[in-house]
Amino acid sequence: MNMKKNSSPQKEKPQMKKIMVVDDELDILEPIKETLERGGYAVVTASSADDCLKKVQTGEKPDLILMDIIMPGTPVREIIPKLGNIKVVYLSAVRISDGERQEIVKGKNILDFMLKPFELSVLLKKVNSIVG
Amino acid sequence: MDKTLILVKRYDDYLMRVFQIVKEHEKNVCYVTFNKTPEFILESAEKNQIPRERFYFIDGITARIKSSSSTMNSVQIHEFDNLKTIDKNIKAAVSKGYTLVIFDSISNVLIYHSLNDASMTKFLDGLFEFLSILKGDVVFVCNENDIGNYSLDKTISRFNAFIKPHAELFGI
Repeated sequence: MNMKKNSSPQKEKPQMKKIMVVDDELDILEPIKETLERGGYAVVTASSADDCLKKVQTGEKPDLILMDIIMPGTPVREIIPKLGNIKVVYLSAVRISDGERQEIVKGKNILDFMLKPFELSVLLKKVNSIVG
Repeated sequence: MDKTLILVKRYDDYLMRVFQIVKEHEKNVCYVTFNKTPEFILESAEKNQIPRERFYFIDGITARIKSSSSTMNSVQIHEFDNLKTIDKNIKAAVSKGYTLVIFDSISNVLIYHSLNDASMTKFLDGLFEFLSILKGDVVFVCNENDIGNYSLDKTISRFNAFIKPHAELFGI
């Protein structure tokens, strides 16, 4: 048997960053998923804040969660504290004041609030700046 | 009694059109909101020379995104899918003199609850009967696509005026 010795240490494949996208509207979810996958991310989806929490509690470890606000089920505000230190960016058509936006992102794991509609390229840049 | 339905497309910015109606009516406003915070609406209203004091809010959105005390002249509702709760709060506000009811929007309420044409119509009939006694008027907002998606034919028939801001903007 001829065993070839490795002349150099095998390089470890860098682990893909994982993004969880949470939205109840499929026509929003799918283009975001495709854009992020083309951007080199692993993507897992959820259809509500409850679904998001269930997936996190059963082992999903996303590096970032992109979350809609107006969805059926438990309000996102009640779910966010149960997600631990996972970073979150809100993606929503809800209109809030500048002061409210600053209040929401202050000192917690909510990093930003992106207003729908947005360019997918802008979303990808935002994700890259946070976890890339 | 004016019963206006504003039919919008997704992501349309129709708030200016709503403010136009508010200015035309000169009544105080009961604003039922599920997609804009009262603070946002008030800041926008002031920029459009509509005084804050004209508004009372039934706030079905703030509690979903942050914990805070209510904006002055507002009540937060937590049962977003309960038309009875919404109805009770609207009637209380109208009784205090906020007789132009703006409901923003039917589409948001449809997300939270498996409403149908019959339950929406029942809600509207009860509300409109109450408002007609107190000389109120209403403006409801709905995504145009949801009329077909949820078969809201009877709901639509309860309104006597229709506005399509998108069509007005593009002269369609």
